[in-house]
Amino acid sequence: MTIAGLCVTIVVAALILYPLVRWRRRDDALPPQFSTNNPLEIAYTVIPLLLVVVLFAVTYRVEAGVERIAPQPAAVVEVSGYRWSWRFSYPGTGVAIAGTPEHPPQMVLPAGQTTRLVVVSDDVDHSFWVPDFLFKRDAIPGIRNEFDLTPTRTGTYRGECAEYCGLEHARMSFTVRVVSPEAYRRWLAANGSGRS
Amino acid sequence: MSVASVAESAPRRAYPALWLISTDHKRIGIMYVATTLVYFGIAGVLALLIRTQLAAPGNTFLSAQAFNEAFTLHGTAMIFLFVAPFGLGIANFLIPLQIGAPDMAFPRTNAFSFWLFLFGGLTIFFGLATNQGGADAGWTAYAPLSDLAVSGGLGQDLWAMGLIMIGISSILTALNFMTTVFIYRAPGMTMWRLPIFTWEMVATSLLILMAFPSLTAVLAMLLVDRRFGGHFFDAHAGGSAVLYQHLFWFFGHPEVYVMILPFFGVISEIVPVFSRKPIFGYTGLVLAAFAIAGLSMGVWAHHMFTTGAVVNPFFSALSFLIAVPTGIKFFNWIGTMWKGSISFETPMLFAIGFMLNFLIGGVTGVMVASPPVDFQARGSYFLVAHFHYVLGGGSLFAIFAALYFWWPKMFGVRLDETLGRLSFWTLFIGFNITFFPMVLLGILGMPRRVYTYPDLPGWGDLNAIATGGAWLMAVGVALFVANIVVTARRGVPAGDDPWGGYSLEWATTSPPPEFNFTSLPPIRSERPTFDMHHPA
Amino acid sequence: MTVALRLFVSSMAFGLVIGTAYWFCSHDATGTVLLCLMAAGLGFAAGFMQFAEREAALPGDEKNALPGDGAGAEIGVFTVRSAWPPWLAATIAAFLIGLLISPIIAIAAACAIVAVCWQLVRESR
Repeated sequence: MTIAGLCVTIVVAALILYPLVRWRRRDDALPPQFSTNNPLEIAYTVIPLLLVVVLFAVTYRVEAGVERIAPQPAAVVEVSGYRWSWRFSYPGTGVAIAGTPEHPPQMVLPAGQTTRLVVVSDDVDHSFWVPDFLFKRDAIPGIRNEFDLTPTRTGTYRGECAEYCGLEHARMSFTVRVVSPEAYRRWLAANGSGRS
Repeated sequence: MSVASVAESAPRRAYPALWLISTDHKRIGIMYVATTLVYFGIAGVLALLIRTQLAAPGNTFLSAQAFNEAFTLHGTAMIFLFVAPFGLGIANFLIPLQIGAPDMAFPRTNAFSFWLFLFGGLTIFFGLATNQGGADAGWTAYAPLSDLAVSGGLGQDLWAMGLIMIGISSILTALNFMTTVFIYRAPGMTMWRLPIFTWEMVATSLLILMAFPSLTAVLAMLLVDRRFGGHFFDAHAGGSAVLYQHLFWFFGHPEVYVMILPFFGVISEIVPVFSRKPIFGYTGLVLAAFAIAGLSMGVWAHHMFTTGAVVNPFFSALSFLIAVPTGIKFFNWIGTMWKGSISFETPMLFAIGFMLNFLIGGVTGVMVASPPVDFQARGSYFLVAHFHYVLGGGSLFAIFAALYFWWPKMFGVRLDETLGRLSFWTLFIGFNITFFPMVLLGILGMPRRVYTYPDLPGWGDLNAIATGGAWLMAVGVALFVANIVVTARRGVPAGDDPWGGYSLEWATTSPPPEFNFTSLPPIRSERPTFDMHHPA
Repeated sequence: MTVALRLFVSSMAFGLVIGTAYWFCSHDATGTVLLCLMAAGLGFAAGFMQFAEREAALPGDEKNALPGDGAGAEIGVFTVRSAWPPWLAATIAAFLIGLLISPIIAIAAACAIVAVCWQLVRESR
C-alpha cells in the first residue's frame, strides 16, 4: 500500500508541477481553449477504477488472513480495559495482572503459539494496540472482541490505548513480553496464586 | 411585494445595526466569513497550546484536563465553527451572484440560519465558562465516554445543544441553496452552464440534507441519556455503545465531504482563471461531485474498522471507490492547467498548495481505506496527519484561496499581493513541517489525543519539529491578518473584474449593488463574463 | 424531468441500492435503517416535487433566453431587512439552553418563539 501510495503521489505531483513550469505565462495571448478530451477522461476514470479494484482485492485477502481465528488456541487471555489501565486474566490458571498508570501491566505470551485474546471493557471505549504487532482491536462495553495472536519473536513490546477514554488516556500503556513456551509455562505456574 | 426595483441601492456604509437585521445574502455571507475567521483564530490558539504542550515528553505546560478540553474544542471549532460554515458562508455570498439572481430564495431564513449558527457557537463556548466542566470527550464525543456518569459537566450538554442549533442552521441553509439554484437562475443559465462552485454547493446541500438529521438524532439521544434518564448507549442497561458510533459516523463521514466539496468548487473556479483556459472536463467534475456525495453516505463505518462490530469489506470497498471520482477531479484540474498560460497570483498559489497537500491527504486516506492498514493507523498520529492534510492542507488552503480571490468582490479592494505571497509560503512550509512528522510519529506508534507521551526514540524530536511548524503557521496567519489591516487602510479599488474572471459575479460592481445586477450579459456558456469580454 | 427532480430520484434509488446491498452484506439493522430512511426522505422530496410543482417554464432553463426575458415576472418576496430572524434565533437558543439549565427560561423562551413566529407571518402578508 505504501509503495502504491508513494508512486501515485509522485506521479500526480509531477503532473501538477510540470504545467506550472512549462506553461508559465509569458505573454498575453490566449492559449488554446480546449476543455474536453473524451478518450483521456475515460482513461483516467477507468485506470484508477481498476487500480482500486486490485487494491481492494489484495486488502480483502490480507484482512481475512489477519482476522482468521484458530479452532484450538494454545492459550487464552482475557483483556479488560478500564479507566485507566488493563487487566490481563488467564482463564483457568488463576493468573490475573491488573495495572495502573503508574505501574503498567505486562502480558506474557508464548512465542510460536497461538493465543486467543478476548478484549472487553469495564466502562467506556478503549482500544488494545501493540504497534509492533501492527494490530489493534477496540474494547467496547457490551462486546467481546476475539482475535488470535501468534507472536514469532521473543522480546518486550510496548502497548497503548488507542481510543480516547478520558483524563489519563495518555498513560494507559502496557507491555507484552513474548517468551519461549517453557518460560511461559513456568511464569504461569509462578503467578498462579491469583496475585495481581 | 413584486420584483424590487434593481436601481435601488442601500447606502454603501450602513450603520452596524443594519447589518444585524439585514437579509441581504452578501451581508450574511460576509458575516459568516467574519465569524468563522474569528472561530478559526480561537481554534488556532488552542492548536498552539496543544502543540506547545506536546513539544517535549512529560511536559507540564497544560494539565491533562486542560489539554483534553483544548483538543475537544479545537476539533469542534475547526470543523463545526470554521471549515464547514465558511463554505456555507462564501456560498451564501456567491451563489445568487453566480446564477444571476437578486438574492437567496428565502432571505429571512438565510438570516435566521446565520444567527442560529452564531448562537450555537456561543453556546458551545459558553460551556467553557461554566465551572461545572467544559466538554472534554473529543469532537466525536463517543458514548459512553460522553455519558453523564463519566463526563458530568454542563459543558458537555451545552456542547451538544450548540451543535443541535448548528445542525438546524445548516439544514435550512442547504434547503435555501438548493431552492435558489433550482428556481432563480437567470435567463439562459441552464443547470449545465452553472459554475462548478455552484454545482459543488448543490451536491454539498444534498449531503447536508442526507446527513445532518443523523447528527441531530444522536445528539438528542445523548442528551436524553445524560439528562432525561435514557439508556440508548448504556450497554449495562440494554443499550449499545456501537449504536452511537453508527449514528455519529453516518453523519460524520458526509460531514467531511461537506467540508471539502465547496473547496473543490473554489479550486475549480480559480485554476481556470489563472490558467486562462476553461475548466477541463466540466461534465466529469459535476458527475464526480455527486458520485462523491452519494458514495460518502455508504462509507461511514470505515471509522469503525477496529470495533469488530461492522462488516469491514463493505465499507472498505466503497471507501476505495470514492478515490476514483476524487482522482477525476485532480486530473481535471491538471487538464485545465495543461497548455494554459499560468500566472501565480496569491489565489493561484493557494490553489496549487491545496492540490499538493490534498494529494498527500487523499493518498493517506486511500491507504487507511484498507482495514489491515487501518488496524495500525487508527487512533494514531498517522490518522491525525491524514485528516489534517485534507482539512488543513486542503480546505484551509482553499479557504485562503477563496478569500484572496473574492475579497475584491466582497469589499471592493484587492488584498496586498506581496503580503499574500509571503503568507502563502509561510503557511505552506509551516504546514508541512507541522504535519509530515506526524506521519512518521504514527508509524512509530504514537497514539492520538494524548496530553503527554514517553521519551521514546524519535518521539520528542518529531514532536518538537511539529511544534515549530505550528508556530510558523501562526506567523502565516498573522501575515494574513496584517494584510487585512493594511488593505483596509490603503487598498486600491479593484474594479468589477480584477482577475479576468469567468462567472457572473465578475460582471457586476465590486461590491455588487443591492439585488446584485443592474444589467446581465447574455448567458450562452459556463463562462458568461469571459464570453462578454471575448466576443466570438 | 427537470435536473432537480432527477437528482432526488437518482439519490433515492442509490440509497435503496446501497441499503439493500448493505443488508445482505451485514444483516445490520442500524445501517440499513439509516440508509432506507435516507432514501425515504429523498423519495418524499422527489414525490413532492413531481406532484406539487407547478409546470414552470423557468427562463433559467431556456438555452437561448436573453437577459430581459424574465422581466416583470413575480418571482418572490425579497426582503431587504427584518428584525425577526435574529430574534427567532435568540429565542430558540434560549429555549434549548433553558431545557438544560432552567425550566423557567425554557417556558419564557417558548412563549417568545410563538410571538416572534406570529410577527414573521404578519411581516410576510
